[in-house]
Amino acid sequence: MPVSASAIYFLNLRGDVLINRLYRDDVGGNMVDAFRIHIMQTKDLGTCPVRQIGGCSFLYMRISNVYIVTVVSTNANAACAFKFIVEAVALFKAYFGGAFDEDAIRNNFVLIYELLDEIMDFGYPQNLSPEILKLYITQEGVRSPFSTKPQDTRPPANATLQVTGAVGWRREGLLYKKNEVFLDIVESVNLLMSQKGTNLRCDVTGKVLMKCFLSGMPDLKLGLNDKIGLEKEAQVKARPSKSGKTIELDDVTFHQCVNLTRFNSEKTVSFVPPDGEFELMKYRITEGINLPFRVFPSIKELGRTRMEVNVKVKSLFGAKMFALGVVVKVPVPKQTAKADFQVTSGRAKYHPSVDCLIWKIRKFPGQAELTMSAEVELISTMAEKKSWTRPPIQMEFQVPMFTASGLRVRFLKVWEKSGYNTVEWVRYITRAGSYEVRC
Amino acid sequence: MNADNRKGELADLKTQLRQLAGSRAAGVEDVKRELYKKVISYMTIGIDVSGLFSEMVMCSATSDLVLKKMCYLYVGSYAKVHPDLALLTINFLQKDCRDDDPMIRGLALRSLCSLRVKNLVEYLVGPLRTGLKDNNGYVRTVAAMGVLKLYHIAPSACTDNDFPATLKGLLIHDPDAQVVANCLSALQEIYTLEAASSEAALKERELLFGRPVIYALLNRIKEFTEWAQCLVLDVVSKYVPADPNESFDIMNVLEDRLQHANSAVVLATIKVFLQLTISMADVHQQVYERIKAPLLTLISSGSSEQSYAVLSHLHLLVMRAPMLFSSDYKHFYCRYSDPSYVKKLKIEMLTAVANESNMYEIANVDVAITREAIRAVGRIALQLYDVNAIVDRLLQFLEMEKDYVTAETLVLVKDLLRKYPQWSHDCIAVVGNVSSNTVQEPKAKSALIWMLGEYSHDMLDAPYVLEGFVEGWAEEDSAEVRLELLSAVSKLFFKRPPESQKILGAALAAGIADAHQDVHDRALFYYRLLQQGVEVAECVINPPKQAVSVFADTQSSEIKDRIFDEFNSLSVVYREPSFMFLDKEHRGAYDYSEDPAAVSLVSAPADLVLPSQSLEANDNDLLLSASEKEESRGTASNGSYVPDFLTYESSSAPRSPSPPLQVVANRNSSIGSAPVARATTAGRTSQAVSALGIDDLLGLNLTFSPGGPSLSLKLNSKPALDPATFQRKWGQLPIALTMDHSFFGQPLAALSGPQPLLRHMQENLIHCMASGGQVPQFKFFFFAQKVESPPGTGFFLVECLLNTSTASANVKIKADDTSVASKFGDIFRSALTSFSLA
Repeated sequence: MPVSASAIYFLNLRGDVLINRLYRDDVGGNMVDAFRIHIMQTKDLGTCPVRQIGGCSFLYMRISNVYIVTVVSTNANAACAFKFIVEAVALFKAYFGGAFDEDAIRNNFVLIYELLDEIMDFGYPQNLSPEILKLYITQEGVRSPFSTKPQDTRPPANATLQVTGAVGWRREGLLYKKNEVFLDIVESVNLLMSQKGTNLRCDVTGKVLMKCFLSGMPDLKLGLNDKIGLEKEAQVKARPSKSGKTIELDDVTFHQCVNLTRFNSEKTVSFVPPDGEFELMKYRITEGINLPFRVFPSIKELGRTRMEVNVKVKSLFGAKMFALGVVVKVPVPKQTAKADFQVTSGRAKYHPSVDCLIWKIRKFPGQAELTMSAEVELISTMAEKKSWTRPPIQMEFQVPMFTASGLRVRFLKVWEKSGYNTVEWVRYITRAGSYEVRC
Repeated sequence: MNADNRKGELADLKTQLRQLAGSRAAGVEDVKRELYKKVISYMTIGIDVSGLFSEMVMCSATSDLVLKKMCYLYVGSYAKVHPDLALLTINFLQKDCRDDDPMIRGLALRSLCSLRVKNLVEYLVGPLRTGLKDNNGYVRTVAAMGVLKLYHIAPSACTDNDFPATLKGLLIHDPDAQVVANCLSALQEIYTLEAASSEAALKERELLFGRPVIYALLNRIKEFTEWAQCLVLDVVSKYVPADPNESFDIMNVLEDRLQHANSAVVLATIKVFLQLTISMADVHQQVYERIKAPLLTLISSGSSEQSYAVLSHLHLLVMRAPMLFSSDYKHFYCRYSDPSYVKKLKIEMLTAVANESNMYEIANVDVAITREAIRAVGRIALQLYDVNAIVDRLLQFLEMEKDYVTAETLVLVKDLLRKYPQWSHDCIAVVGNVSSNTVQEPKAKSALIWMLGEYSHDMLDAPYVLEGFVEGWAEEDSAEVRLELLSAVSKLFFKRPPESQKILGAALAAGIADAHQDVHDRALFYYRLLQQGVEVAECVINPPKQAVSVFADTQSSEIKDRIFDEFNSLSVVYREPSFMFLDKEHRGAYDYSEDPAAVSLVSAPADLVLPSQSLEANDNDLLLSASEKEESRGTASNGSYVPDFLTYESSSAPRSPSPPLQVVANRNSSIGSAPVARATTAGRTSQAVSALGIDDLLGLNLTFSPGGPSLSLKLNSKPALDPATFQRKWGQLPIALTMDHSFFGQPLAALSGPQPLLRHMQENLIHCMASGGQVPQFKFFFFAQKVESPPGTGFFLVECLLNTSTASANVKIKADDTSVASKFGDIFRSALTSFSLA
């Protein structure tokens, strides 16, 4: 049985109920109390997202300052239940236009009740796609004043037809004066490097994000420089594939609009896109990754009260490119008193609240090497026998027009029966996922 | 906000709503909206606003959709508490069900079905029937779900009106995929519930999910929403294809689902693949290869909660196919920011995938991981036969001289020696070099001490090392270590008496003076044993040992298979089959009382839990219980001391995981009763005879089988049933017989523990699986087996609730063969009767 949730609760951090929706009668009304007493008020809170109390299972997750708790009394599908919560939150965000937190819930609680009514019936998930729901739940969320999204006031012509139609993700009769497609390849690099500089783990998770403003029912075809696609093409056209880098994707998942049968037979990504923004595909790569940065840390403990931290960061991407918003976080012991810095670029500061030296570089050029050195003074404490277990150095960054995997868009074709011209925009960006270097 | 204030506000709301009810002025809708919002927000924070019911209903005549929805929500929440008032709403809901707008028709129908009031069912049937035939898909989806809701309120009303049959029609023919999906959910649930009571429904269900329906669903799989796809895939996974070709066809159709963006769909597809190929070993292996990449993606994408759910499944798979992920171990390295539950699972995964080729890399990464990795290495050694290289590596670990490495390794070497005594020479040489000062952790310390005691004849300086430990007795915090020390010193004494007499004396003196009950008792016990004679004591304390072949913490493969059958559900996360956490029998007493304080009682009846549920018992218990098992096995032929030794030992290890049955039976005996128990067991035979004296008078045989010739059912004197099978059978079988038994003027009130009854029943060839409880309530699980029945069949399972204050027993009997259940009931009753007379 996929989910069959008996109830869903939204609680704030104190345990107050913000929203509750009972779908079934098979759990008692005081299940929230059980959750509060047995999970929220104990140390177990962070230890496991699935807990069982008196025959009922609680699947919960925290999103900003809200707990979302699903109560089930059957042997439910845990993965599905969590995915449902995640999707539901994405839906709420699409309605509120941005943040999902306690305030947003309080301001929009009627809307949330309405949505909860539609997305789940008697504990079974129904339709969660924002594109469709927005057609018939027209009450606008109370947007935060900073959000500037235009208000779409066009009433849907035949909403209920769309609600359950076969091409669920696109409505007919769309018309744009200027037909445009935006495609972003967003990669996040995950790295775990040992003290000695060997890669313990390194992978890239990437997303292809699209924003379509296209009229009618267009058919799109996307070509990437991935290995399988290129080989297939070479076979079909009976000519050797062009030299150049080919990328081997470990695993790919697609938005439901992508014709998977065609992907399997022809290895091309073809689809009828939803209107507006969506995530076309996700992929994962573990081989042949170009790391954008290398970090060379050296931390010396000089006696009990002094430490010397030297961090050298080297950018490995092309000299014409640059990284933005680079942050290097070097953890220091709790008893740090102060730190004196010398940096070749950017600014460094000691942040006692997170026990870290934080070094920020706004713009980091390619093929460059920057260093930070710091003298850290520690307060000597009595009970300090145990040596300090050093957490890893963490890094944040964004490198536009660079992909760590080397993935490139070879073509993006748009066909529509009216034969209009489209403008295509392609961007690349690489971000730090969990970029950690042990020191 | 205090109560008065709140009351005032409610009254205020009431008057305002009343004024608005009839008004048709412009802008009145906006005012209403605000008021409704207020009411709903009060309702959400738990204030009872049911007093406004009639006013809310009066205001509900509106064309504003949002207002309508709020009103429906309000009505739905309070109708159950005020069924009489709910009647007021029927009228306007029914009217809305005939509205021109399909949205409103759907909403009204949904609310109507959600009222959950039994006496309103009659008003429900009509709208539902029209709803199912509505020409709009939205209304039909709502109606399909409505049928299920109706079934939950009034099953008979649902079946009498032939709604399931209508749903069946829609399931195949409806053009709208969501309608089909909802029909599927509804039918599945209805038939599952029906099947529990009627055979016909069970057949119906099998028929329903047979080939035609499955094919119809598969052909449309792409039309369904992602959630409905999960549902369909779940149904498909239960389908058994006629031949391999059919399996391949289905897999071909579904292959692309593995690329779906929704992780739930991917997992559901994986389940289908695994189930379809379960009987084809080589294809099954290929499936593992195929699903590997998608699974690894699922771990790294999505929230940590999702990763947790997926990792739990991966763990299950790895347990079935350990080699599968051995080259992908890097995926399980923890991130610094991972929450602890994800880290824990990842480390477990690393442990599971660790093998000779990758263990060095894994072991180098982290302290926590090192520990696990060492354990993993040891575990591999315990599983394989060619352990040569692995032992060498373990010994290298010892030479690394890092505290935690040494500690973990010592524990392992100990287990290893218990399985492969032939390695003792190599190991002992290295262990002897370990400085006892560097070992701090209790577990490691007791392991070291155990080895010192066990192999003291090979280790020259063993007496001196042990002496050092005995001298440090007072500083030793851990009772576990002190217990181990007592045993080790005694063993030493048997092997090298002249050197160790003094140490033994010191240890026993320290032990008897110890404040810890178990330590005190064991010391006293050894002391008295030694008084009986050194040889007797040696038989008990240091018998020749058999190598352990299987350690007790390995989960039975049957349970694992059951969990595997329930792939993609909570069972995998909890690592126990669903009946263990869903059946009331296994849950413990917890009803959802309104008093939150009562909630804390949940874990109280822990001793009723069957032994196999404590599968994850810690190593600490293992160490004790497993070594005792050896000892008990070794001494089994050594005279009448054995039983009380067992009793004694098992009480010192109260949480021993699935110990042998007699230990279970005796494990609630209090420590103090050990000497007494010896007396009683020694005289057990005579007592048993006298207990059966009455049967003798009645002309029954004086055999231990109470079912003499007069009763045609004979019981097996040594039935074999492990706790897991018991639990499974208990979960599956229906109750064959229930009876109440009263004891008349028997010494029941004096019954202080479950032991006497256990012993008595065992004499009647009814064995105990588990027992628990305190005066005046006891609970027992018994089992017995029909004589000459093939292994695994012919069992009788009994749950017996005994109340000593009312001198009555409530008995539930389940049987593999229900035809003889009543005969067994007679035997059971006569056994109970004879107990009361004894």
